[in-house]
Amino acid sequence: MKLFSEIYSIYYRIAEEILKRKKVTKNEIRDIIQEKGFLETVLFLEPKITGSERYSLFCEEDGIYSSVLKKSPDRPLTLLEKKWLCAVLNDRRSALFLDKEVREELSEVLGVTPMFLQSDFYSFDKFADGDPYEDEKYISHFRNICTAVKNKCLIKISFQSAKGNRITHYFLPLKIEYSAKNDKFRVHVTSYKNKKPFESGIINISSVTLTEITDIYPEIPENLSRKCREPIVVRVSKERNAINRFMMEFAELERTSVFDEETGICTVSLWYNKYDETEIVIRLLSFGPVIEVVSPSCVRRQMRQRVLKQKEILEQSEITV
Amino acid sequence: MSAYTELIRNFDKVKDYVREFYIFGFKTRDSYAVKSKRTYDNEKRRIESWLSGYIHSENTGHKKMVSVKVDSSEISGNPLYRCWKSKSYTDNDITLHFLLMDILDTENGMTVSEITDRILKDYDIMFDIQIVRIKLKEYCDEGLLTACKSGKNILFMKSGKSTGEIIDKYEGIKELISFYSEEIPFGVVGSFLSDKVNHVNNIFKRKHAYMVHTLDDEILLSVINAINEKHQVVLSCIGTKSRNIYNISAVLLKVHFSVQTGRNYVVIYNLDTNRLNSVRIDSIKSIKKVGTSKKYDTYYEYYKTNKKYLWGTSFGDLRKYGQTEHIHFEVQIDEKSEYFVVQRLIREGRSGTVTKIKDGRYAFDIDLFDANEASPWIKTFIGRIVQFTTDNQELQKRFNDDIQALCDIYGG
Repeated sequence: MKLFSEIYSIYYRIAEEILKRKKVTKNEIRDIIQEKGFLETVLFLEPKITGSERYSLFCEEDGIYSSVLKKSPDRPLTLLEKKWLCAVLNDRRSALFLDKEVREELSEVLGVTPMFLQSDFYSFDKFADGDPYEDEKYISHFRNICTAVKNKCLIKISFQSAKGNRITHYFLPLKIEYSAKNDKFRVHVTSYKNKKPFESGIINISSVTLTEITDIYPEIPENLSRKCREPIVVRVSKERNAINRFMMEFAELERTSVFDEETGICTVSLWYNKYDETEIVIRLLSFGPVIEVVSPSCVRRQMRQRVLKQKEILEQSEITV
Repeated sequence: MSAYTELIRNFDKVKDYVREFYIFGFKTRDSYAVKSKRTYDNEKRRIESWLSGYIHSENTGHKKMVSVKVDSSEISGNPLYRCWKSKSYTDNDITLHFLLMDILDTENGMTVSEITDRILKDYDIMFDIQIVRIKLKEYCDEGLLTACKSGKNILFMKSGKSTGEIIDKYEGIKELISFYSEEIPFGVVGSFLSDKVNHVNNIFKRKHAYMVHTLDDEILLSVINAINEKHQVVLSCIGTKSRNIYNISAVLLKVHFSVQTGRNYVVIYNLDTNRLNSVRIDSIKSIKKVGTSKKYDTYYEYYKTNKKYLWGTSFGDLRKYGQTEHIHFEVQIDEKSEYFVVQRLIREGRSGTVTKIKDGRYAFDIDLFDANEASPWIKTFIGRIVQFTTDNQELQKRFNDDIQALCDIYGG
């Protein structure tokens, strides 16, 4: 059972796509390769389909390439795929997608031992208050939101805000976000005013108390990104393996980095979502003095405020640090 | 010298480059210890082709830095999975793949001779029977085909319904695959399935996602197998700083994932030092099975008993093995508006205990094999810490010094 196998390769996928069409022109072949292939695939794969030393799977007549196969190409699930599916069906979050009876039926159809068990792994820094994936109401709201995202339709959502207020509104759900750290699903939404996109926001699915799908298909908002205009620029020193740790920890964000060999300092620019600014500040604090936030001033100011507040506490006589 | 191709035979050869481009992105050709500059250039060209759209090049003086730039929250799928879809093959491989899938069905088995004859008769392609036999054996191992005995003959047939038929039958399965495709571990398998049915995720996105872990999935698969089969193994590892190769005789017990630092480990019982240890998964180069460990359950129980003293994966200094270090710290909050800080202590504090001392003041206590591991988390409470004490003297001093150093950096 191999993970790195040509069965799953992009070249096989392209060949299958072309074979499915039965008869294709050279231009169509090139278009398929360019759409599905790597940047340079056309250089290597096209001659193997249209050239004189082509695979025996294709024959050519008057510039039309046809498949030699009798049927439309297809293959069964591999053992790897079956074992992976069985493994994910054992995960408690799979209840969000398939009912228990369906999961049991599918496991039986697949008929293999799972590739792994959740008990093989331990996420030691996952937060302890993850979402209630087995809760029927939670599952129902999750599925309704999922359907609305797929169909791009408005959905009525009631939820409890962070301040404890109950809010009910019609929203267009854009994407469902999952955080492995928080073990939570959140939905990114847009509200509307006078049929125009008005405000964007994020709702914790665990705080949702009601969902009702509508058959209203609103205008899709254009620029949804809440990305910062200016990146956080951080100087990271070599001390305590900080460069390695920092680059690994912030690998999820888009970054640029420059290493100064003379000083041993790596200057990293991090592009982040404005919603996450406080969380990023906290994560930066965890590195202590081996990093320094250079800019933007609003983020440096937050670091400074927390440090000065700590200094103030230190200076009070009864405190022992 | 063989001509350059976009596909590769060995995934190990390229994964370290992908990792360096993705994690660091500031290294130049001279920083890589490679056989030749051509090797670097070829690997770079491949990665640029596989990950086009995510690759950025920048010149620093006369040197070129290559990086992979991705914001994991803005994409529908992990682009690094494309690296797994680059396996090389021969003309015979691809031809036989499609012909076998065309000829065979799930009910009527055929012998290797019948298959070889049919290929000649129906497709006018001649194959050596040995080549067909090898491919049939390979596809039985991969689960695409099954073989059954009929008298003296072995009959081959497809192993089940087509991927499309199974996926179309169950409503919700495409969404399930979309979601788990971005999960660790082995999400790439979900991506193979999505490719097969031309499904693109347009529902889910990720936060706190460490996409780079996919590069270690092959090793992780061997780790999981060794755990499930209770094997004793020899791990061949590379030092993260020294880059030296070293071997460890071990029994593998549990994979410890970090969803915050991007580092994954396997906890082992080290048979060379007779103690519990952890090894970074990205430092493991190979795993050699030695045999089944008769004492596996004993080692696992030993790990389970000691797990509560782990903050992450460190079992502490060799000299102090088995001893725990206590941490006590207190925070002050505004009870009405800042109670979320206490919730953070409870939610994030693992095996620690949270105690209310008085209104607006809470204590956190924990015993750990290695108190240093909790230090970054404690620093996230800077601005609220009214007391910090630990019997790890080195950490106590460093914590005090760090607070002072931060004041020097930001306080002026």
